[in-house]
Amino acid sequence: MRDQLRVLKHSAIASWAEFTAFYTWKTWTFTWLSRLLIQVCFYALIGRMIGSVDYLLVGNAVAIMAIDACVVILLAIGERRSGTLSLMVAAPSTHLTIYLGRGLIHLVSGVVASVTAFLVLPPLFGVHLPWPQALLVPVLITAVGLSCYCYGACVASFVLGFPAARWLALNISYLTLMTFCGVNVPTDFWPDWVRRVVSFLPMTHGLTAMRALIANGPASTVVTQVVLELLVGAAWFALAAVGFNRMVRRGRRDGSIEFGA
Amino acid sequence: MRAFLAGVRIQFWLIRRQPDDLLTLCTIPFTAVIMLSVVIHAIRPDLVTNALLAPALIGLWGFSIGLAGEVIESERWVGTLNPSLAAPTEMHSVYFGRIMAVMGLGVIPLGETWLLG
Amino acid sequence: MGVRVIDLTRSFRKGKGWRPKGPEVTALDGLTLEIPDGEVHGLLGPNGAGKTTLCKILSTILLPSSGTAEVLGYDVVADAHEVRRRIGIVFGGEHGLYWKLSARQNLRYWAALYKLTDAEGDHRASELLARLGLTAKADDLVETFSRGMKQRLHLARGLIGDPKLILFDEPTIGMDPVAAHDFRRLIGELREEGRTILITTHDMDEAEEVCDRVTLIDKGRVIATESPRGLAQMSSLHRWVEAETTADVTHLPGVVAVESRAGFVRIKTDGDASARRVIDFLLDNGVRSVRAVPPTLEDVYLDLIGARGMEV
Repeated sequence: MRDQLRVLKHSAIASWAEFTAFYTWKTWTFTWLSRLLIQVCFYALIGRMIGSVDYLLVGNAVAIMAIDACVVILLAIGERRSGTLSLMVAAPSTHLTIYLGRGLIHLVSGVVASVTAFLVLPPLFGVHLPWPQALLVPVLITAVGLSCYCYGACVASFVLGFPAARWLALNISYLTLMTFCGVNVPTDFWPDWVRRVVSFLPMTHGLTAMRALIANGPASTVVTQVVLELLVGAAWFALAAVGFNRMVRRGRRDGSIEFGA
Repeated sequence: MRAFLAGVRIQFWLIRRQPDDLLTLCTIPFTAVIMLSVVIHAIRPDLVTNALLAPALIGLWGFSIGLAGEVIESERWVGTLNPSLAAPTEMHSVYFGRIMAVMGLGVIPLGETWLLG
Repeated sequence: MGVRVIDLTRSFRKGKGWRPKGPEVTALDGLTLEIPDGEVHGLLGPNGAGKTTLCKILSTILLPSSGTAEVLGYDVVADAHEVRRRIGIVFGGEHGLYWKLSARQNLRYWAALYKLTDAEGDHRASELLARLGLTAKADDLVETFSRGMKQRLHLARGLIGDPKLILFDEPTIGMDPVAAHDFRRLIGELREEGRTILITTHDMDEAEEVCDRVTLIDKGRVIATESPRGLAQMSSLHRWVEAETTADVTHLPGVVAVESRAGFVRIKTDGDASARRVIDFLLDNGVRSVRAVPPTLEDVYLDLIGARGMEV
């Protein structure tokens, strides 16, 4: 366990170093963060047009988190490109731990973006967040982020074998969450079977918790839904572990893990 | 004219090899479903047309800005910009062809959302 | 035993996608090889002979189709995890590093992956950086490194887990002569430390200089395993005479070929008697500098595997 944590720590440190070599806080703010905030504003404006600005604003402010969390899907190609995938497989550590560590920075980036959206945008659209419950918003966002991240890692484990499909996989993964998990319309808008599927996706329960929190709903609802969200995340984590083992087994069998790039 | 057609052709070839460029085509239905669900849920039938038109327009912008903007940049990246500038044909018509091919593809989203509607 | 490979076969199906449908290609064809502990072993052969395939199987990133391979007594399929703790991998070229990290960050990252504690990792990283002459650039981003420096760092990375067996796949590709010389010295040091080393290479001089034994492989099969010198003697090969002269010896009996360059000739003869005849002839003609030499590894290689020109 301590070994695993150390691997997680060092791959997170490495990804932080790579991230900061690529972005400065200025470029991150003006290219990435602003792109996410504008997306939230776009949907919030639609909300204003139909008279439910708070519903769409809250939903989309949480949803942008999913984009960052799902970026973990793209990391696979990076390992292949830098020729480190074979070395990673040949190292005596759990591959999923390494991979999760390397994407952790995007999870952090997503949490920061989402929290920023909650800080900056509600006043602009005249939406009121209850005080002091609003202090729990970052906690809920982190819970949603974690489960989205595990979901992304699971998709990543399947995409590792098909690097050409990575962008497609990324977009479909987060758009599925954005469309069906209660971001823009409540989940009971959808047919029963969709709703059943959606309850196994990340974000659904986390968003329910968030809306309950903001609407001054019962604390029990908030807690139950957060726990459910984390359970969903754990399930996706288990699936990701299976997926990674399967990917490595397949790569070893068919020889698709190359020395070099 | 021949250069123009060559441009159109090469752009289609490239797109077939790199399905990632067609990403927008796959994201449009999601955007359309989101918008439709929002206006239907709000019981605003008057906005359905807008909900369908918006994703199509987003698709068109996505295509033209993303791809057309990248045609020359990616050419430089692969290192074929210099040789093609040095080629005996006027490059303008080739690029015009390639960009038109991209814009042509950009019309597909319109059809897509029309089908959804 | 450092490496024991018995009747190892690996075939691939060509083509792309989930289930490639192309023809089956055999990369390793019943290969058997034993490398004792502490030996520096060279793997020679043309492109596509199966050298890299063998390295990939030994490093547990590829499964054999049949046969067994053991590294330090552990099976590469059943005990892959034990194998991974004990091997280091170095391949040539500039890949296998994170370019947006510094040299030290790269090493510390891999140290964690090789289960070193933070303190051990720090210590080992500094030690290896010093050993490979990278201390001054330790905190610079790898992308600013020259090719040679990247290769040295890659070497340090391969040594981070204190491996008992090191697999070098074409390590000197693209190295400049000074770097290649340093590399050979390093191999000597690693041997002194009792590590087992397997090197695949195209460079015959390198193999001759650093390897205790070499194995020639072609089409996935072993052709011969011997010490470089033993290989030369074992083969019923021609004896060479080298001399500083411009005299014409092509008419002498037993002379098979003559290569001359800038007043220096290498004469290929068909045996000791013919070599003696050539030497006598040259001495009679007043040539001072003349000597008989056994065939080089390159000669043996060309003789056994055949000159294939540009074929791969």
